[in-house]
Amino acid sequence: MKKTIIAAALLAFISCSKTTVPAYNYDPVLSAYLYAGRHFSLQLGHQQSTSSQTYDAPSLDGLAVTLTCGDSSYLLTGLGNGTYADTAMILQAGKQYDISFVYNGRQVSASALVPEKPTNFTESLTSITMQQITTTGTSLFGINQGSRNELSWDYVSGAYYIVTVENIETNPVKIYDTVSTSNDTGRIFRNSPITSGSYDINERVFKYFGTHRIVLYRISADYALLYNSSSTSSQSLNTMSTGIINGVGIFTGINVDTLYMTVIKQ
Amino acid sequence: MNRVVILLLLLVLSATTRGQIFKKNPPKTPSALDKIKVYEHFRAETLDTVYNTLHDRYGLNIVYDTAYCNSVIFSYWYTGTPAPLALEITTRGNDLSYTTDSLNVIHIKAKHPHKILLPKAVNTANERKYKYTPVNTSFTLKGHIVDDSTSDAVVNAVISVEHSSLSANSDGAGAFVFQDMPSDTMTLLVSATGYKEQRIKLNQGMDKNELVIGIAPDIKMLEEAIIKGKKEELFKMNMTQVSAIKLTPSKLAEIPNVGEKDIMRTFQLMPGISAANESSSGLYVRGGTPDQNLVLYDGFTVYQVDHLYGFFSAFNANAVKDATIYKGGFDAKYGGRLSSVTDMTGKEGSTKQFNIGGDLSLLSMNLFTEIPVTDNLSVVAAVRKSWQGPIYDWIFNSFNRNTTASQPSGGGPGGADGVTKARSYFYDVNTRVTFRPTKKDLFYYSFFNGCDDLNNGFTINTPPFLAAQGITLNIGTTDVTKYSNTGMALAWLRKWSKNINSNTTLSYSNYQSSRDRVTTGSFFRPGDTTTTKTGIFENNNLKDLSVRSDWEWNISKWNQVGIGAFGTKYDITYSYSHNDTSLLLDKDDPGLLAGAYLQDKLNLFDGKVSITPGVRLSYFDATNKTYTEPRLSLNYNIAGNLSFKTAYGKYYQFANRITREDITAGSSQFWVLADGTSVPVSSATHYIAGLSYEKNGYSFGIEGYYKQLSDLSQFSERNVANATSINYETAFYTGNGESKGIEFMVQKSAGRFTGWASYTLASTMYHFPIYGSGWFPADQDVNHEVKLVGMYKYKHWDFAATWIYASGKPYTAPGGTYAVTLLDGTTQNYFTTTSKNTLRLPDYHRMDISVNYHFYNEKKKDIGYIGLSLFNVYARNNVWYKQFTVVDNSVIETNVNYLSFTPNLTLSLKMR
Repeated sequence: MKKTIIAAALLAFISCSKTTVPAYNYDPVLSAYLYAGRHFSLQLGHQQSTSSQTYDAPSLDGLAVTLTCGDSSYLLTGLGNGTYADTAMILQAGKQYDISFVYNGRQVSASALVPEKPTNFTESLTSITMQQITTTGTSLFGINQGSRNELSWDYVSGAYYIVTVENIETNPVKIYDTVSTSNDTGRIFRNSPITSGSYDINERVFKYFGTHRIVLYRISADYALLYNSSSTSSQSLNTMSTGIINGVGIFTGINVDTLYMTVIKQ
Repeated sequence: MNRVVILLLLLVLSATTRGQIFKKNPPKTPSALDKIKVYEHFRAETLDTVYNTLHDRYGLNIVYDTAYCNSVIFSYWYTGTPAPLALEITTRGNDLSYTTDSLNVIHIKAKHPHKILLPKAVNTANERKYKYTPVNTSFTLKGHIVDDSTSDAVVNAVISVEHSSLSANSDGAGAFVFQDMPSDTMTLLVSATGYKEQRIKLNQGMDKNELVIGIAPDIKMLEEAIIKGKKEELFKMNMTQVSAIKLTPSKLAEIPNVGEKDIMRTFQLMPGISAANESSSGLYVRGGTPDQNLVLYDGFTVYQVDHLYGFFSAFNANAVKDATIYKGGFDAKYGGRLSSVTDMTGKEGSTKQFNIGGDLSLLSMNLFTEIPVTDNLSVVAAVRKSWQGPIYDWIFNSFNRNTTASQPSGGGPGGADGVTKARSYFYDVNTRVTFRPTKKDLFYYSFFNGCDDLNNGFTINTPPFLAAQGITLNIGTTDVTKYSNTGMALAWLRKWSKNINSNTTLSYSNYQSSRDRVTTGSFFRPGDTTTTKTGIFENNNLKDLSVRSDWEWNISKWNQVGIGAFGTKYDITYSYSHNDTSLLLDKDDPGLLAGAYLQDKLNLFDGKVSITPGVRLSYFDATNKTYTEPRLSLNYNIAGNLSFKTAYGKYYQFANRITREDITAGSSQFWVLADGTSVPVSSATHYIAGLSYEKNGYSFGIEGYYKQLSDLSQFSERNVANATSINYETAFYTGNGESKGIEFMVQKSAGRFTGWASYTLASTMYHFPIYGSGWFPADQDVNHEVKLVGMYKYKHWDFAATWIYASGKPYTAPGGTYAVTLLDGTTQNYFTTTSKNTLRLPDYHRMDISVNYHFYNEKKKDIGYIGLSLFNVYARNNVWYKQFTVVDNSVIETNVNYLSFTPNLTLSLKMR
């Protein structure tokens, strides 16, 4: 009896050391921002497998993709390469939109609420003056004075916002024009989602002189989560939280307001 | 004739007793003894010292009770006194007498043996020689177990009757009773942690109503001493109670350890308790998680058992008298946990002798003292604090690599000086005051406080060139994890009558943890101050105010009842916020748990079978429900030393520790109280069966178990968002599980070489609907574990080696990647995962080695050692977890490893 138990244990022991190849995840990748006042479009894509094996995922074209708002349903037009659009309907703030289609035998669905437009979006400065830095090693602290453009808006409790600032000059001039400065410094910068009604833009974040567009986005909670640093450890590996069922990506409502300011060269 | 036999028996018992010292030199004839003249001047020496001197200088072979003789002070000036007279003088007025046997061995004996009767470790040859016909049969035997050296009661000693399943435990006053002792020829086997095991042959002359058995603590014998019977073991399997293991803290130093003798780490060397968790001192027992293991210290619950990221446990081995783990199927007396119970008792301290000692290692310093205040009042205190030396930093950085911030390279043009790295430490304090106002009453107050302050932050101060411009700059990362335990208990143990005793405890336990990981930047110059603060804040505060009263009532010879009541007032808060402003989760859960239990131990069929049914009832006000937990255990003595054990039980858990995994910023765990909605009351059902066998210094054990787990809770942020809000209250998920396994163990406990080998075959599977419809291996699932422990003693040297093998734990890996274009036009990579826990990490294995050299005082007693421990000798890269980075839609996988080869040196000294 003892021998049998030992033999069984050894057999189980030997049969256990195997490596499993992760199965390909066929869930489609959705990308759709539902802007109030605009038409709807959706981009579908495949996930890229982390395995060295190749997989043939079913085509993303030719699907019957339906967008529903209340009692109204719209069958989206396929434009090829996984793109679908609707030209009949204008998205409205305060309304919920649902999308659904069948892919690879599974029902994919998602919902998004288009938020209301931010109100009383104001700025404290319409321009600031900065000195150009051309010598490597010059201290910034003694030159530009740290001016701030204080943005404010009516905060809606529980809402999420995000601010982007973009230089919109055709040929922008760099503020830090030194050898050490990277040539491909972005003309747009963003911040993490905000859960308040104010935000300060410090002059130190500007990279170019000229006119800048300041966009305040009222975003949804699922988009805000994209900015959370998700765990990358095998101890707690989670798929990014989205509201999409049997799919991944982003399907979220957006509403915006815009201001402008200028960075003037001294 | 009988008297002669008894006398012979007593003599033999005396000669072989444990707790006595037998100093052996070549036999001397009576005339030779008379010729020995003693020239010594003893001034206020203990008799122990006197006999040592007589042995060393005059070659006398003396057997005596070390404990008693250590308590007797003796002064005399021998000026050529013949040895027989010299010995006789030592016995005068000391309640002693002396005899000489045929080998000229001198026996110093108590005149009233039943009062300080020493257990006699009878060897089997002597037993055969002095067999006699029983006079008393089926009688009640009552007595006490006391410490030889202090006369203190020994609590929780197991007294079993050989060749039967009869057993009893000593209560809080050291008392025990057998209602139906089959005959006065039986042999008792007394075992207690911290003491050597003793076999006591009953006899007709003993006092059946007050048999006082003194057992000796861990006292090293002289090299010449002949030690009969078994050695004391580091571990002791309970041969009559299912899944119970006792540990002797005083023996912990014999096995390898890094920095500290560690009770919890040592438990992990037993089958069924996972050993492949360097980052947790908590016990994963039979597929359970550490929070499912109830940890009791002197009666109060300890909620956090980790020091330094879990590499050490919070318990100072110098303050612990004994520790017992019940791996499952535990009695109705215990409850509130799904998996297991670890019950520790603090040292009482001697009422006779002051003692002080300590350990010094490359990691920490540890001091303890025992203070006899009066004859019935003693104090024990122990304190331990870490150094932030190389070993500390090595371990700290190994367990903290993911959150170790890279040092900033300057703070802008010109750079910044004055980078300051924060300091970290841990400490703990144990104090216990024991008071015995009467023979029937014992009070103790026990206090414990431990704290870890793990600071991984740094600051950058203003560099001179900016200061010259009137600018103040302060950039820094605060990354402080603090956790602390405070526990205290006030207990009253009373023996109301010969059949009834009680233990009533009022306790308080508080666990606090906070995580403050913040990056702050402040920039100040006249007219312009900018402050930024971003980070994660967590706070967990658990308060447990409890009262319990346990009663034991020996109703009749076949019936021993245990009954008790308990109540716990919980108040557990947890808050989790980002950026100091957005509170994501804010739980405040008060709750009251109250209940009672009843169990009845029945001895049947002449003691061959003992069966213990029990039930525990708990009312929990948060759910407004009553929970019923039936328990049943059975022990059947099949033949000789072969026993069959089985147990069944239902268990509920009301307070759970949840892991909030966040490796980029460091995981954290928090306690929450079940609320019946988002966090339900979890439950488990245990089915256990096993066999144990003991012979010739070897013990064999096989146990199989099956556990059903219901309403388990986990916390995951994967689905906290919908289109309108993020709700972390919905991040708690509920599921079920099952755990099963079989454990094999063989232990050698006699001879110079001791140790054990064990193998566990196990499986723990969970089913949480959030992860899909199927079952998946639990995070702690380990299918195979092998543990080999060998210890060898040679004169002053201890050598030990342990080898641990554990098959790989499951993990989840990215299965696919995708990119999302954000509102600013940039793209961000994300990934989807494989099915939950479908992959396995590489197998874990490592070997640790230690060598200790012991020091002895002039009385040849062990007063300490210097030890070298080598952890992970062959520097195996055991994978802790894998880190994934998504770059251009490709996943880069990195192994994060556990501790590599780590040596440590320890010096341990004590006064006595």
